[in-house]
Amino acid sequence: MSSDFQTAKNDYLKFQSLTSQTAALDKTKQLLAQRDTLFTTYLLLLSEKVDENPGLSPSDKQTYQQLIAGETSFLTSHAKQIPGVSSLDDAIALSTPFESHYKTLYLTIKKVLASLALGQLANLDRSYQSLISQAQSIISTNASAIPTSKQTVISQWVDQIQKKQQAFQQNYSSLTTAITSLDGYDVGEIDRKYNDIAKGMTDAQQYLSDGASFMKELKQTLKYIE
Amino acid sequence: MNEAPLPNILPQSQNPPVYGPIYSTGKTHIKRPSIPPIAVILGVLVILIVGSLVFAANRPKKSTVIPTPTPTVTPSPTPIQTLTPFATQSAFVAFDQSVDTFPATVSGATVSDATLSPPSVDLNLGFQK
Repeated sequence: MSSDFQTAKNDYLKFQSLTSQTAALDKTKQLLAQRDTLFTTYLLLLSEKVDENPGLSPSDKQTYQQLIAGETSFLTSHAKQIPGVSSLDDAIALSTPFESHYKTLYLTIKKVLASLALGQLANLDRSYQSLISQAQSIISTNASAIPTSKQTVISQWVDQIQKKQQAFQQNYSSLTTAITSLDGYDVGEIDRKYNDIAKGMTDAQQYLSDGASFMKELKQTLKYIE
Repeated sequence: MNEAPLPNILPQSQNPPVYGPIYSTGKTHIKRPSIPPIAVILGVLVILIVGSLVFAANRPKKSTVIPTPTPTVTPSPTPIQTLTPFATQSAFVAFDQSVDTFPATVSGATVSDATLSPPSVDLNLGFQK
C-alpha cells in the first residue's frame, strides 16, 4: 500500500494532471487510514500484553492502560476525519496533527514496553524472594539438625543472596523512576534513554542470576552433612 | 801295461760338498700323542658354540616395538555424601527442585520482547516540492 502511495505521489508530482491528482488523493487517504489502523492494532496488542503481564501491579496496569486508551482515542478520532478529506491540501492538513502527535505516541509506546519488561523482572524477583523465604524457613525449622560447623557458611550464603536481592531492588526502583520520567525532545532521544533503561534491566536480571547460583550453593550446603 | 789310473772324478752330484754339519741320517722320530677323534669333534663343537654365543652377544639388537599400555578410564570414586535429616522432608524437596530450575528461568527470561517493536512509518507525506 505504501508503495502504491509512493507511485501515485511521484506520478502526481511529475505530471500534475487531474488523473494523477485524483489517484494521489485516493492513495493518500488510504495511507492515512492505514497508519491509524496500524497503530491502533499495535496499541491493542500492547494492551493485551499489559493485562497478561504477571509482574505488573493492578495500579501499574491501570496507569498504562489509561495511556494506551488515550492514544487509541486520538487515533480513532483522527481516522474518523479521513473520509472528509477532499483534496491533497486537506490530506496534508490532516496528516500534520498525527505527525506532531507522533512523539507523544512513541513515548507512550516506549513507556509501555519498558513497563512490560519491568513487570517480567518483578515476576522473577517474586520467585527469588519466595526461594529466600523457603530457605529461611528450612534453616530456622531445622536449626538443631544443622551442624555447628556449617552454620557460619549457611548464614554467609544467606547474606550474599539477600545482598543480591537488595542490589536488584535498588536497580528496580531506579528503573521505575526512569520509566515514569522518560521523555525526550525527539524520537531519537527517547530511544537513547530507553536503551539506557534496557541496559539497567539487563543488570538487574544479572543480580538475580548471581543470586540464583548462590542459592544453589546454599541448597547443597543444607542438603548434605559434609 | 799299466794303465793310468782314472782320475777320481765324480760327477759333482756324486760328491756333494760338505757345507756344514750334517744332521745325522739316523733320524729320531718324535712320537706325537694320538688325539682321539671324539675329542676333536667335541673341540669343534665347543668352538662352534662359543663362537655362536660371542656372535649373538655382539650382534646389533633389533629395535623391538614395545606395546604401549592403553590408558583405561577408571572413574574416580564418588564421595559418598550423607543427607541431612531434613533433606528428605517435603519442604526441602520442593525447595531443592525450585532452586534447580530457577537459574534457567532467570537466564531464559526475555525481559525485553523484541517482537513488540513499534511499527515504523514515514511521517511526512512528501507532497511539498
